[in-house]
Amino acid sequence: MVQMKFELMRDFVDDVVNRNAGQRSRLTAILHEIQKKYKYLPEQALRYVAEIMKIPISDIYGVATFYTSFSIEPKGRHIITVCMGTACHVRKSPSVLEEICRYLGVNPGETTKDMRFTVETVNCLGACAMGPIMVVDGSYYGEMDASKVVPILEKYKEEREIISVDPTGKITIPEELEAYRHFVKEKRYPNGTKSIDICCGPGCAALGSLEIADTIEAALKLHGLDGEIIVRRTGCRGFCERGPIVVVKPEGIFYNKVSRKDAPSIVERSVVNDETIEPLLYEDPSDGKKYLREEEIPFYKKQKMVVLANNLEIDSCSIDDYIAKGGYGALRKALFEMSPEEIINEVEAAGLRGRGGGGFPAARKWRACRNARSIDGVKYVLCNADEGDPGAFMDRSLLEGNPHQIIEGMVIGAYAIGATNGYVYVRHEYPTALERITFAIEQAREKGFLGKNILGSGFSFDIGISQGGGAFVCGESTALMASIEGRIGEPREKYIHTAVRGLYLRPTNLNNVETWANIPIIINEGAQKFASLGTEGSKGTKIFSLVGKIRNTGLVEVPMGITLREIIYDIGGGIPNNKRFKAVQTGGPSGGCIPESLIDLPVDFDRLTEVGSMMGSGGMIVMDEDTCMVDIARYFLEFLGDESCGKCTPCREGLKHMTEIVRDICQGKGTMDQLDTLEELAAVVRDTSLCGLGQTAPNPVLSTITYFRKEYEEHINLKKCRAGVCKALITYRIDPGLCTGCMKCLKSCPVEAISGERKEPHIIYNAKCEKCGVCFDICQYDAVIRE
Amino acid sequence: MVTFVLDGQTVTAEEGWTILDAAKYYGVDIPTLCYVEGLSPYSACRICVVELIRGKKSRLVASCSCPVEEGVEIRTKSPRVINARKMLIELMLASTPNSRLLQCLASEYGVTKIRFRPEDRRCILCGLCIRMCDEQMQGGAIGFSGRGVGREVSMPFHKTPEACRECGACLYICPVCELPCKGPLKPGELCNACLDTVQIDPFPSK
Repeated sequence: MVQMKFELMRDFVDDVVNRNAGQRSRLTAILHEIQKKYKYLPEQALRYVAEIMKIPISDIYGVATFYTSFSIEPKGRHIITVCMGTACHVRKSPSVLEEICRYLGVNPGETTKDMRFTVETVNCLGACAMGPIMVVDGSYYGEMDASKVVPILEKYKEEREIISVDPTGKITIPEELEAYRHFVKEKRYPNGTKSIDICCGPGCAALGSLEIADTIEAALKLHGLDGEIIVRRTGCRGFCERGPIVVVKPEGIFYNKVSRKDAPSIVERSVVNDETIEPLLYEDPSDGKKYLREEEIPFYKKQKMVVLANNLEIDSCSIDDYIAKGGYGALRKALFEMSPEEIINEVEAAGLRGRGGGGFPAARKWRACRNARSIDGVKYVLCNADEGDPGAFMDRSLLEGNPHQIIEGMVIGAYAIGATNGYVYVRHEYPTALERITFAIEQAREKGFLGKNILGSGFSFDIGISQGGGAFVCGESTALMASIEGRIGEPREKYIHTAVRGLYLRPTNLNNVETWANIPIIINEGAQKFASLGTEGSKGTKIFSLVGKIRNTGLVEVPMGITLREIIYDIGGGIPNNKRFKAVQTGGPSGGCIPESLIDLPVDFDRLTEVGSMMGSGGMIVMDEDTCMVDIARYFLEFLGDESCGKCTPCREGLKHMTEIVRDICQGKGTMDQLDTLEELAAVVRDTSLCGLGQTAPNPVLSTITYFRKEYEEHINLKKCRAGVCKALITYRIDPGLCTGCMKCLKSCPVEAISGERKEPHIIYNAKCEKCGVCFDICQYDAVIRE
Repeated sequence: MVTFVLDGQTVTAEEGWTILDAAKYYGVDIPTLCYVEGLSPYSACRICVVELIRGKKSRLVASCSCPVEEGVEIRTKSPRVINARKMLIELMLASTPNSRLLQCLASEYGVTKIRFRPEDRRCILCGLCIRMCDEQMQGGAIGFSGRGVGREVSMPFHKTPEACRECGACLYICPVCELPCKGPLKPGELCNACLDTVQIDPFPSK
């Protein structure tokens, strides 16, 4: 039975006081009624009573604390009273009390952590004939002995109360959450498993998946199925290469590259008539094999979806979807079954390391922040959603696809740390993510997962949104905090850690989006299960965005310790166009390039650092033989030079001169002396820069010099770019023997640098040629030669 | 009190002191550009870096803001520190040649060549003038604008604001306004007038 229950405390107090005519003499009666309703006298209620009855709060506080039947501490829902009268005493009531306390793990007068039981004693119930006596919620159990305690209490423990829920109201006690979950599953989604899921991640949305979803909805309506089958606009499913993606559930039929035209036929054929639409199924480009279900596709098969799992299951705008999938269960567990210290220990045992790049153990940071003293008790937890690494979009996909998991993680973290306020710092370039997380925070607040007295636990915490303004450096913790405070996003020294003095000089804990999203999983499944995946030093899974010269572009979640080869070839499907793999760049601009010789490297925090790269936020940019490593170094230097805040000398000036030197090398003007200077300068920039941006900025240069020194030397000594990228070092010419005179290149040349007659060999005029390479790409006879 | 090793000597300092405070107290010379007593530390020029060794780990820290710590070893003139300072001097001189202070540091540290493309931006962006105006003169008339290489000290919209009382404190505090001994130099030129007379002492006063 679902009935309205939610009531404002003030309304209730108003009613009670009115019924008692607001008379002072009725004060104890009024307090009894409040106590009966809430099982204790909440401070807010007493203050309100004082206000409307015009009695000083000190008087009311006096009365409330004088009488033993009142309590200003919250009480459990079941109150166990043990009679300690003389008659009961001689019949061994103390052993009954001891057994109760042992079983519940509390002392007399205390309440269990899950707020289920409060144990009290009374000095005589006047039922001495039945002694020893135990009373639970007014039911008398006479002639007790220690052996009877557990079976009786077990009954109360197992009993599932019918908790009424108001589907629109706040959830005020943990049982209501379970009731609400039940309600959502039963009432809102009676056919919970029947759905059509449309990927509305950024990639698919760009290809029109939102219109497809609308069309499918309309088609369902046409067939009268709109109440029966749910249309879910899910977050990113990872396989962006194949978008837009539509999955028909419960069968899990995976349709890829769906267009709007296909939408009605999906409903007609696949839903109404139970057929499969062959042409829309995924076909493996390497062997032409067709796959029916999502989980069978090689791209998904080797993955281990843990954090992203819900992205495939829930509508990103629906808190009900999240709750139906067990959402906020971890929060309930954390608040009512675990102490803050236990939560931190659990996260520590799970071995969770920060997913934002540094890989710092999350629990250590939490503990430092928990132990730090705040002058006014205010502490902050922040979520770093300033995902600025070019080529990385896992945070965006989580924010857009499953924002509640991040919020849940943050509330758990805040409880463990003792934080009062939180912020999500979202970069300006992610408007959809901003919209979704803002909406999700509002939903969570409405349901009572944020705000005052969360789920009736007494813990209060709320989250605000802060928006970036297009500055990569604001992903650095102190710059991010400066930006939230409304100042220039400029880092400062962290000799005093931000865990001690961070945002507004208060203890602050900052974690990245993916780190927060891992927390509910650890709390739900336990540290042991979480730590069963991964390597010695890196536990769990990691999401990578697999981009660049790779067949299956997209988002992949893999267990730590998987090799680069498995990611690139088994999941990524290898390099397209029969090109040769050259390197993979990991860790964004702060990372490095890992060469082919290290392709069997297991991917975890420590291994990547050892080879001169880093995990970073998880961008993985695959490069083939057509990529020039010197040019890549130049690209990252220019990016970082642009994004340097300009505060400290080595980063501002050093990057500028490093860029100049690498640019010289790309233009064939470099010298070997300059290469030495470059290395020397890179070492100093790394050593002396103020923040992480500068300290890691030389990585792309140093790693490419380490693994591809030969290419640098070729650029300098032979004035040759083997990949044919550095324009100053290449020329195009036409092999007269191969040229058929088809005029294709002539017509496509944007600067008219090619001349020739039909069926006669053409000529490229180097003076005019802009070296754009259009002729090279367009020629079918390989007659255009790049040197 | 905090006990630590400073250039080989075991010394004590009060808790909360920066490494620079302690070094000054014990007469150990550390060059500074963006730090002046009485203004908040900014840790931007990095010339005051020293090597901080804790156990087996060693790193460079800005002595103007890094507090002293129990049991660590601090080296103010190790090869790593000298190398870093030399490079920083070279970088700053490449953009600000006409600074007596920088040119003197170049002589002292034996910087005899600038390997980078020189230009004259006449400012090392130490921010002393900004902090002086704000913290000591309560002016708040100037600030940083732009970012990265495009960063500069400027007045809002390049117009003298009302808050400016033309007190000249910014000019007074500027570490790079004074011309080098050899007069105005072209970008890329080094003064090196006293190259052989002042050299840093590798063995600081004991």
